[in-house]
Amino acid sequence: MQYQEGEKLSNRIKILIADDSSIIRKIIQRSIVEDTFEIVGIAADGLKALELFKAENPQIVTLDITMPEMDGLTVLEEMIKINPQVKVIVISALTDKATGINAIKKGAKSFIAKPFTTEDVRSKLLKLAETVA
Amino acid sequence: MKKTLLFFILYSTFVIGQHLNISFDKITTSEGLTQNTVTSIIQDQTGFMWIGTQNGLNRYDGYSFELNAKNALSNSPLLSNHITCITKDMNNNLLMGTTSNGLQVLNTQLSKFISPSSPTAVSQNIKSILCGSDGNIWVATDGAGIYQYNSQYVFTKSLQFKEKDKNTISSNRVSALFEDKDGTIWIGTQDDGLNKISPGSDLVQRIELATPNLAITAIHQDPDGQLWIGTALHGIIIYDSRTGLQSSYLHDPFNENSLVQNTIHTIYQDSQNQFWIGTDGGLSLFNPDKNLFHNFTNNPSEPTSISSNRILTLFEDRTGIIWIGTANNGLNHFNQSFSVFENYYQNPTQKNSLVNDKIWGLYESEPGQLWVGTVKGFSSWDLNKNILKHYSAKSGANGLNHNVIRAITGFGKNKLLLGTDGGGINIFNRDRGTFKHLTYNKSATSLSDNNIRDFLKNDDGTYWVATLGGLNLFTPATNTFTVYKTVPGDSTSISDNRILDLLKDRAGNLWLATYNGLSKFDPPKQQFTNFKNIAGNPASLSNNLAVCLYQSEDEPDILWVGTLYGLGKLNLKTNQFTNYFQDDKKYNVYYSIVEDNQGFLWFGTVKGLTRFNKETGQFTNFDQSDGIRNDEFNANSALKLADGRLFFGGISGITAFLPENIRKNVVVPQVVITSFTKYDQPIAIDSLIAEDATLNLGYDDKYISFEFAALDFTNPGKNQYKFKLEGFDSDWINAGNRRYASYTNLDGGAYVFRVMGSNNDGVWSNSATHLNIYMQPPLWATWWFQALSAFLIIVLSISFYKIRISIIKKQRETLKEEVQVRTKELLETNLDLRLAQKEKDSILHNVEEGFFLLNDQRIIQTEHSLALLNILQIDSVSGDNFINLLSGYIPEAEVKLTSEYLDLVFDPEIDEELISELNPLEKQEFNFENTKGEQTTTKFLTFRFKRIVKKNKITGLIVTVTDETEEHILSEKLIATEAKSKKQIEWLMGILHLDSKMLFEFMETTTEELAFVEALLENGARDNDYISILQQIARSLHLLKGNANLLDLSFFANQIHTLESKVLELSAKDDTICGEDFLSVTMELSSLKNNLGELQELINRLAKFSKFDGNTPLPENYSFLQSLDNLINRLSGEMNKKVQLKSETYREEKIPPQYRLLLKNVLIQLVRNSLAHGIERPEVRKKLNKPETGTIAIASKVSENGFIITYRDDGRGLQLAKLKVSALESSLWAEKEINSWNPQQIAKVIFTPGISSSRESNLISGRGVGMDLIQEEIKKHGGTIEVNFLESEFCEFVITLPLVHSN
Repeated sequence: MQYQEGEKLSNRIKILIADDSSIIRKIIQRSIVEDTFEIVGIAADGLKALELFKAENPQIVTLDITMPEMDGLTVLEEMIKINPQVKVIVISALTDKATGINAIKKGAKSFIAKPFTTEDVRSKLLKLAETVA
Repeated sequence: MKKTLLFFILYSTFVIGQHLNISFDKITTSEGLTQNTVTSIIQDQTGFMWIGTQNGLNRYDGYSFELNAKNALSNSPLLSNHITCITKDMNNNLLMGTTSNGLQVLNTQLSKFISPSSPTAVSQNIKSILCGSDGNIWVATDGAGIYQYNSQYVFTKSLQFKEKDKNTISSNRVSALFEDKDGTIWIGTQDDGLNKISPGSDLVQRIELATPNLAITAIHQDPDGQLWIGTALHGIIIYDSRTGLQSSYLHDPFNENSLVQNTIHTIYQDSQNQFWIGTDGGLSLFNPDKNLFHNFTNNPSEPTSISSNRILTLFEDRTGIIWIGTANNGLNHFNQSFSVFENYYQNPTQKNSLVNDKIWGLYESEPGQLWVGTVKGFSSWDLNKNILKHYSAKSGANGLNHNVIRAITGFGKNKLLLGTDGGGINIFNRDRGTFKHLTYNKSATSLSDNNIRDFLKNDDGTYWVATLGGLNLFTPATNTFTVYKTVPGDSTSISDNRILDLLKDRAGNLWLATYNGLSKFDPPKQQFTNFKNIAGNPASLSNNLAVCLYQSEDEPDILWVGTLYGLGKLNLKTNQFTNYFQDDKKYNVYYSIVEDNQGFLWFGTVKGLTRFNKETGQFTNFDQSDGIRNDEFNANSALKLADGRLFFGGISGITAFLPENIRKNVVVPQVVITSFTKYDQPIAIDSLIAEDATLNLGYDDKYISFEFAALDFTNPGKNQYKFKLEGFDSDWINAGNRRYASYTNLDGGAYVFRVMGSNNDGVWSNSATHLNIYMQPPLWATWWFQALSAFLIIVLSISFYKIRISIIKKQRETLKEEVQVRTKELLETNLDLRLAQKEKDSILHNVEEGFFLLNDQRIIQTEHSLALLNILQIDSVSGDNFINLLSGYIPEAEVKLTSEYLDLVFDPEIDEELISELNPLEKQEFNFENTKGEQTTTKFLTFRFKRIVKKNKITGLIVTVTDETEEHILSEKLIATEAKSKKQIEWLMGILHLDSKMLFEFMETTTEELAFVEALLENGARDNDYISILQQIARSLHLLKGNANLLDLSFFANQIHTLESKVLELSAKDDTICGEDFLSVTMELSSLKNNLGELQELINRLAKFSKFDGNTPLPENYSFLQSLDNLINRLSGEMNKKVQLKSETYREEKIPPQYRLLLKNVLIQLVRNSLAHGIERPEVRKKLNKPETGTIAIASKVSENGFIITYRDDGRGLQLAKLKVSALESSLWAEKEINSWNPQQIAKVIFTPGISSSRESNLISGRGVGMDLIQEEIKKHGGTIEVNFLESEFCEFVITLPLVHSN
């Protein structure tokens, strides 16, 4: 990746990954375009995700709504309450469309169904990035 | 009151006289010292100890060593140098001599080295440095004479040996320098004796000594003016400079109070004017009054002894600690002012030591005459002369009869009463050394128990004796005992028979400390009043195990009780306890109580000694760190001697001390900040502190920490600290004995870190040491930045406003232009539109996919493709509400979901791509009813929705519909196929190990049987004879199951078993069975058949790879017998029976092929029955005198009657009685008939279906099936079967089959 040190880096979009599967987390990490995004936190459960969200204030969050410890939708609501501008991508199983639609109604911006590839994630993230900037 | 006595110090006579045992504390490389050979020790003005070793200079703060105070001296030339000596000069700098780096000067305040000017020759081995009273510095070298410097460290002159000039030093190998009280400089050499320079003169005078070429190592002057000259081989020479008289002190191997060794390294005078001599054989302390030496040597088995005998250097610090540097064994130190506790223990190297370390009874018969009871007998100890005499148990009427002496007291003029732990009382005659025994015997007036704990003498000459078996009153006149024991149920009897301590109070009551409470005996009333612990009552005894008792002279109404948990103060008037506990639970066990002459109570505990102030209730604890060798003290093993000393006995000997000697460390310590680090990086701060400068830190130095020390080495672990960072901490923080503080993420600004410290006795430093810090604030926090920003913001907002206005003006202009352009375009597009319309129509007509438009009310527009109608099998859709339309085809939940999804698609805030995966209508199942209302078709359709955006508003959606039914079906097929092949692979694995012929047989048999069963089902449907059909089916299945088991084809065996169970269940039904019940059976059967079919296919495919296919005849080596043998082995294993097969006379090859199958089935069933019913277990057989292993014998014969096959087992034969019962139960015959049968007739019962003489049925044998089926099968082939038996002996079946030709 070629980027100018300092300048470009400080403009990167902050992203928080919340997923209890390490494989999924890796897929998402690989899909990140380095000079556009900066991962500011990785959480494996809802409570941790909220903590990190409050601490790091990311602009984009990938949120697996099937994680333990806290209901995914509740986490989503909390995050939007804290920062209504945040762009959340909810992740769930393909059969869980009802929850997905519910999440969009609550303020999430996108939905990805498991299983997915890095390309799936990348395109969605880049699209969201445009709206953030 | 004795309490008003101030602490006063007894030194000289007392200290010296008592210095038999000093505990030396050790410091070696394990604690951080750079090297274990310590050549020089000194304390700087701040209070740090500087230790010179063979490998560098160390600075010690009481906790850790810093090599040359690393932060400042990292560039010091002394990084790894052999230091020989250190001394302090008038500027408080340290002067250090080395072996090869000459003289070094260190300013300890600034941590800077000053290089003295020197001629190049001074890289000699420096042996000694003297700072003269005039400020000049003398440096003695080994080989280059003496070099002199002034107080500015500028070289002035040197003194060299000149052969011809007698007024030069006697040798260039100078080893010792000393300035006496007159100002005379004494110079000792390595090989030629002593020289001196008189004050005011420059001339060197050589001194004649008795010994020529004396090697001098040290010189010192005593208070009388005599010169003490330490030598390398001749001990110490005392030289009177006025008279020239000499005497010497030498080591005398026969006198343990002579100088310990003759090689002297150092002579040191401490603040008490005691002379300590360091030699190569130990440390000597000179006692001028008695003119003898007290010697301290290393005892490898005693860890508190000095660590080495090679003592190189000595030094006393400001608090009175004597530091000792040794060769190869690091540092030792001890503080004589606090060495209060004397420890006496068993020391085989010492002539007069205790005989054993476990001390019990203590008694002082006359002042200075102590008697010590141990577990190895007792000793008489003359404390003044320090002579011990031991007595241990001996056999014989006059000897001590037991070694454990728990209590000792005086008896008469010259006798002692000794209480033993198992040998009763011994009366010891001191003059004669003989013993008389008083032990327990059955008589009513004897001692009640042989385990004695305490004695108490009464004025009338009688003695109270405390034992583990009751209280005894001993009347010596009559040698009788009156016994008091506890009486169960009588609360006025003694609380427990086990008594540890006795005390008579002022009022004359006898108090007893027992295992179960405190007891008070009232002699006139002869009654006991007992005090016990009452749960929940804090004014009751704190613990029921009372150990020791005490009443103070000045407290007539108080009794002190030490228990296993807590100290009790009993008010004798109110009978209420006030209980005392310490926070540190270890000290709450009270084993003994003694009061000292100052009125303090002392207790022996499990972890040392405790001193208690009766008025204030304050406890002070003393343990091993204070020099007590004992850990755990023993019950009631404590004594106050006539001279005021207290002796406590424990498990490691006796600890003795004079309580008045206990001093508080009143020296005010100096507190220093020893290091500062940011993150991990140390920063030099010594000079900053010295100059009160400020340490500047950057904003990203987020983590800083300080380390500090109070420079008191008495017991550094007990030093306490308080610190505060002004500007951050609002108050002082008590750090306890933690000596570091750290801070993170400080804001910008100025701070001051202050720290105070105390010594081990809580004496605090007078002022705090401090360090100034300035934290650079980040850019945005600085005031000027903020001011600038504010200014900029104002300027910018004004400009923004102006710019905005001009932009709006421009916009208005462009808008006008655009309107004109737009109108023109519209007119043009109108034309294009009409053309496009035509195109669109033809597309919609021909395309295969469904197309339609939805408006924002979800209404389907008129423009749609024709195909849509086909797909939805509907005549028209335009104008219909899409959501309502869907409810006709898909479940309600999906309709709702779709409606919600469409809401999102229509929501302009939402990006439709981002939610594309939420589309519920992907491969959604649509069900189409035909006109009759019955479900006819199912399709899988996918709907895709795309927004139509006009002028940034979503006006509608364009929807495409595709029929994906075929794909769906195909994918399902794929899944099924995959599953099937998985199953087949499993089977494959299962059958690979099988013999192919056996497999073939199995398949044949099974297929035949299943066909038979199917036929039965079909016919049965007609005949309505359900029950018997079901039974037949069950029997067939049973057979098949056996076959499957034989081959270990468990998956088939299990499927067959399930089916068989179902069938039998059905046949046992009470109500009528109808055709429908058969349905499930038929289906299962069908499935079984299918599986078989698949298996057959599999085998066929396999067969292509193997040489065998189903059509070739069985080769000669095919052995059914083998498989029968296998079956027998397996079954006998499963049933825990031992059975063997005998088949020599069975000729397989003679049996026609058409009979083989039959015979196989028959024999298998017979084998099963034999194993299940016939053959007994090995134990049973043994009892019957049969061989443990049962035998099954089969034979074949060809006769004119046909083929005769005999099967015989040597089991229990047929159990006629049981058969009879089964017959009765079956209700197939009348009772009368059954009773009239003969054995043969009874035997025939076994061929009736449903009969079994075994109550259980399992997979192996039958449910009464078997024999009847066999009979039928045989009959079918035209043969017969007969049974012969002898009850308990054998059972034999004879099968006859008609002769046929083998075809």
